[in-house]
Parts: sequence; C-alpha cells; structure tokens
Amino acid sequence: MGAYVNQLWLMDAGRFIFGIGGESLSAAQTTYAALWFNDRELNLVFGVQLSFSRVGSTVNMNSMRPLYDAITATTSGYQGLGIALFIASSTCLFSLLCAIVLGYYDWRAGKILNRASMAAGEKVRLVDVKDFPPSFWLICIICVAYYVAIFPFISLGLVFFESKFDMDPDSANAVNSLVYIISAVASPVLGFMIDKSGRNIFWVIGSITITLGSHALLAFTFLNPYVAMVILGLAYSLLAASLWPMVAIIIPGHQLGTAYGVMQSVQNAGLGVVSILCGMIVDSRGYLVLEVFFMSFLCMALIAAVLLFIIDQSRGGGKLNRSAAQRKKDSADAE
Amino acid sequence: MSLSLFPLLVVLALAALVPVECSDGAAIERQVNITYNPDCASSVCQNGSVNLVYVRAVGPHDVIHYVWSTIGAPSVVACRGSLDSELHVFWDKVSNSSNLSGLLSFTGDIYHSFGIALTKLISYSDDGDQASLDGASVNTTKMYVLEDFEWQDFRQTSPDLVSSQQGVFVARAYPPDGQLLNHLNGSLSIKLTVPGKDVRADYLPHLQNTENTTMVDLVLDQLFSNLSSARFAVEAVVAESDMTQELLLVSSKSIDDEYTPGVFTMSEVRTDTLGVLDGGFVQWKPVCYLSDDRNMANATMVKTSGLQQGHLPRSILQALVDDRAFTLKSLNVSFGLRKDGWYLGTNYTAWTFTVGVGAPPYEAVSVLVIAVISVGLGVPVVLIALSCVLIVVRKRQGSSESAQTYESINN
Repeated sequence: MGAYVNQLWLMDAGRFIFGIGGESLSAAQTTYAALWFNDRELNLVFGVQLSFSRVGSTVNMNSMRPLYDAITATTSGYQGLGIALFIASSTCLFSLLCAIVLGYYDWRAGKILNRASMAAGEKVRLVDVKDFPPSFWLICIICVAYYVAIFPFISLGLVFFESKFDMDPDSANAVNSLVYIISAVASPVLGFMIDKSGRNIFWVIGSITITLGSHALLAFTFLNPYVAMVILGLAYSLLAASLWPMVAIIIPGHQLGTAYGVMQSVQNAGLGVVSILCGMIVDSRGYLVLEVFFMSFLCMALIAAVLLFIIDQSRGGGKLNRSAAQRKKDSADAE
Repeated sequence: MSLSLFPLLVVLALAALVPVECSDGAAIERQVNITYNPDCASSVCQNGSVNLVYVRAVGPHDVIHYVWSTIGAPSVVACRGSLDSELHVFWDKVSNSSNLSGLLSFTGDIYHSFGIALTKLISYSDDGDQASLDGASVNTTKMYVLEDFEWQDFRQTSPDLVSSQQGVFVARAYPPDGQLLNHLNGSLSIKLTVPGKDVRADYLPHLQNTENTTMVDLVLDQLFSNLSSARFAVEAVVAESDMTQELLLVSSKSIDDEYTPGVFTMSEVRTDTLGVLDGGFVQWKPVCYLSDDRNMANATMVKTSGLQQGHLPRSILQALVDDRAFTLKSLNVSFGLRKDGWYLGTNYTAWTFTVGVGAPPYEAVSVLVIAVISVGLGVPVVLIALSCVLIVVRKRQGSSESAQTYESINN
C-alpha cells in the first residue's frame, strides 16, 4: 500500500509489521511441528518445512522480476510497483487460509487426544527463559555461529565467484543460489534419514565439519566452485534438519514456542551484526580474510557442538544423541 | 580425531604452499637523487615545454638510472649501471622532430635497460557493452597519439619533486583535437613515484614497490569523446635491451586478495629469465578505478591484448635503444567491464603499474593473515582435541566404575 500511494513511511511501517508477523509465524509453525511430530518424524518434517520455504524463496526471486516487468508495461512508476506488491501479498492471504485450516485441525486433535489444557498448572511466562537448560543455549550458539557462515557468504558471494574463479555474472548467480536449490531438494530426504538413524548431535558435528571443508576449498584452492557449493548446500540442509528438532527434545511443550522464538531472535541478531562486519572486512581486507573469518565462526560452532555432546552425555543422559531405535523404545515406555 | 585434525591440516598446508612475507633485515634502500632537465642551458627547458626527469638511485653495488619524460611519447626507462655510471643529456637533439637517438648517453657501464612508453590513447564505441577492444569497429575508434600532446610545466605540477620523490606530468592540450581535453576541462596525467626501497603503496591497488621500481599512475579525468558508449584504452610499447631475452605477458593467480580486495590476479610483462639482476618488468593488478576515491565499489577491470611486434615511437625509448639490439613489444590495455557504466559513468579512470629492473616482486600472504588463520582455526582445533581426550578419559572411567558396581552387586 505504501508503494501504491508513494509514501515511504507507510512502506517502512508495512515492513515493520511484516517483520513482526514473519518471525512470529516462524516460531509458531516450528512449535506446531514439534508438538505434532515429536519423537517420530520430526527431522523429516523440519526438512520438508525448510524445503518448502527455500522453494518459495527461489520462486519469489525468479518470478518477481518478470511480474514487475509485465505490470510496468501498462502501469508505470510507483503505482506499478504497488500493484506488483499487492499481488505478492495475495500469497499472504493463502498463508492465512492455511493457518486457519491448521488451527482447526489442531483444535480437533486437541479434543480427540484429550490433551491437558494449558490452564492446568503449566503457566507460560517469559521469565521461564532463565530456566532453559545450558544445552539449549549451546544449540543457540551453534545456530548463530553456523548461519553467519552461510547467509552473509551468499550475499557477498557474487563478486567473489566472478573475480576469483573468473565466472560470468550468470554462472556466478547460478553457483550462488545452488545452496538454496539443493536444500529445497535435499532437506526432506536428509530429514528422513536422520529420523531413521537418530544421533542428532553427530549429524550436527558432521555437518559443521563438512561446511568447514567446503569453505576451505573455496578459500584455499581454485577447485571448481560448483563442487564446494554443492557440498555446502548438502551440509546446510543436514544441519537444519538435525539442529532444530533438538530443541523439542529438551524443552517442555508449553515453553517450546518461547524457545524457538528466542532461538530465532538470537540468530537474527547475530546475522544482522555480522553482516555489517562482513561488508567492512571485504572492503578493507579482501575475500581470503573474510573466508577465514567465516571458518573461525564455524570452528566456534564446532566447539559448541562438541561441548553440547559432552554436557548431554554427562548431565542430560544422552537424550539428544539417541539412535532412532532407542527413541522408539523411550516413547513406548512413556506411553 | 580426524574431525579436529582437519583445520590443523588446512593451516599447515597453507603455511607450506604459500610463501610468507618476512621483513628482511638485509633489504636494500637506495639513495635517490632527482633532477629536472639536468644541465640544460637551452631556453626550451625554461618554458616548460620539455620535461625530462632524471632519477639516480644509488645502491651499495650499483646505480639505477630512471628517466621519466614526455619528450615525444611519455616514457619511463630504467637502466642498471655501475656505481660510477652517469647520464648525460645532449639537449641539442631535442629539437629533432623525428628521431631522438643520441639524446641520452651514459658514461660508465650499463648492464641492462628496460623501458615502457605509452604511445596511443584509444577511444572506442562500445554500444554492445562488451568492454573489449577486439570487437570495436574501425569506424568508431579514435586514436590519439600521445607524442602530440602538450604538457604542463612539470615544475608547477610537481613542486615537491625532490622531497616527496614523486612527480606528475599533466597534459594540457591535444592540438589535433582540442575537444578531448578542453570540452570538459579534463586532463590526462601520469604520476610517478620512486620510493627507492621496499614499500607497499598506501593507496589501492597497494602495489609492492622495491628499491628497483618506479610506480606509475595513469589518470584519465574528464576526457571528452563524442562516440556513443565510449571506452578508453592505451597502447604501450615495452623495450628491453637484451635481444636474447624474450618478453612475456604473464598473469598469475593467487588465493590471496588482501591487498587488493576482489582481485586475485597479478599481471606483468617481464623478461623471460627470473635471474635477479638481469631483466626488467612492468607489473600491475588488472584493476582500475572509476573515481579518485578508490575502493572496491568503483573498481573495474583492466584487460590486455597479447604482446605484438612493437614499433618504436619518438620518445626517450628511442634514445635508450639507440643502435643496440633490443626486444620491442607492444600491447593494448583497455579499461572497463560489462555493466560498469562505460567511461561516461564517472568520466574518470585511474590505472597503476610499476616499472623496474630485476625480478618482479611477488605477492605473498602477509604475516597478519597467517596469524589470524592460526589463531582463528588453531585455537578451536586445540580445544576440540582436548575435549576429545576428555571424552575418551571419561568413557574409560565410566566403564571401569560400572564394572566395579557389577562386582559389588554380585557379592
């Protein structure tokens, strides 16, 4: 609407509201997924969820340009932009529709499974955050430290591929978006695999190491970047499918939404700060130093993951790293 | 354990494969004496129409004579000679409008000479935005012969010549086509710096200078071209006094771009041998800047054609290669890249290169970067190794404890 009436403050307000809504949506849907699929196909579900959002991003990136061009052929200037954005926001209506349907199913499931209502004793308070186990904070650290080595890298990657590997802008773009494309396909598959095998922490550690290797290939060798980026895409999917479900294992159901919200905001805050830093590093010291910077964050994530394993084994009873067979046994026992 | 060894292996591999710059205590520094139009009594030297700068860089074992001049085509030559070698300029030869041989003469021994002359400024039309001189059609290409430019009085453009060891030649007019420089009040300038020691330039592209190099900045500022989508290029001629040595155009790639962010290549035209004392080179990074505020955002590419047979322009080079066997090659250097807005985008292009004798300096990963890598990757590796040890120890303890527990239950 801001674009249509050519008022910047209205656009900013719209973006602000979108930001609030988007993150809440993300936290809510992650919580729903955890509540419905805990102990069973949680990894697969997270994989599918990630895949759909990546496909969405890709479709968005590729379709907005032609859409805008088609509209501005007839309606020019900011009005054309406004119409394009209206069409884009119609997909939000579709999302709202899905949310309503989901809400109905959840209410129905609540009645069928006779879920204890939240009013009975388990109050939700923001202060609960201080009670979150240290394993949770380690998972947050892994999340931040890992994602800062992926997203800022992709946003600064184009020039890197063009100048170091002598690629033309179209190939550089293709290589850059490989990570998203691969994760769209691989996330469900890898999620399914992790469900079958369990042992989430090992997968997390493995994925961080693989990402380190991929960055090392890009920084220290001239090997075809397609190789490194494919590896990176696979590792990224692997991590997403194995890291997020771990929160559901250690946080009780009534605090799960808060937990995911906290994790999201820590991740976003970290990304925001580091993105600015990355720009400064590239401008002054170049891409090699930037890659080393990313690799040191990945090393931090690796340390956090190893620490998580140690703490989990000694204090948590090894809950986070159980194999799938053990998990089935545990949930059967609980029922 | 292999997980934790990996980053360590990476660091070791890096340290082994990539040479490290170390500050060498034995680096030579040359004593630099700069004179403008040395020993010239003739009136042509007073009115600023003749510019010749003689730099005598004295080292412990030899002397390097640089001559920077815009007599004829603007050139820089570097000659390595014995400690007692001296340059004499025969100023009466300056008025010869076709041939400058005999202008320069050296006493003492000269071991080797190397020089570069900028012969032509080329402007071509690039409607297709290919930024390639090869694709330009002859009809829409203009050649401006650099011999015909008129230059401002060097003493006015370079007042700190001796103290800063830096001077700049500024072209003020191009008589065959007044529009080029006058229409937009533009200038073509060539700035020369001779540090006389190992020092890296403090502005992009941060080229490495040695005691044997002169650094040259070519700036095309507010030049006018009535061609559509105009781009500029220069033709240069490189001369080398030893006929037995070939001149090569070499582009080498590196993983390290810390001095010139975003540029991973180093280009040079050099003699075929890498022997330290013989030979010469012109070295540059294939990047030029579209603004005098140089940074990655307004960097664009420099492309070179291959080396072709050169033809000697009326210039100091002619005096240098005076009746000796020499190797002469020419190359075209074009500025710009697709989608950078053409020359018109900013009406400014600046390119930097170094000219020197001996072997060209090689870029090496700096100690700082190696240190950052070692700490950034090494510390975590150590921590991980320690934690793996901890885990193993704990597992051992755990299993020995449970064995005892079983014992006591049985009893």
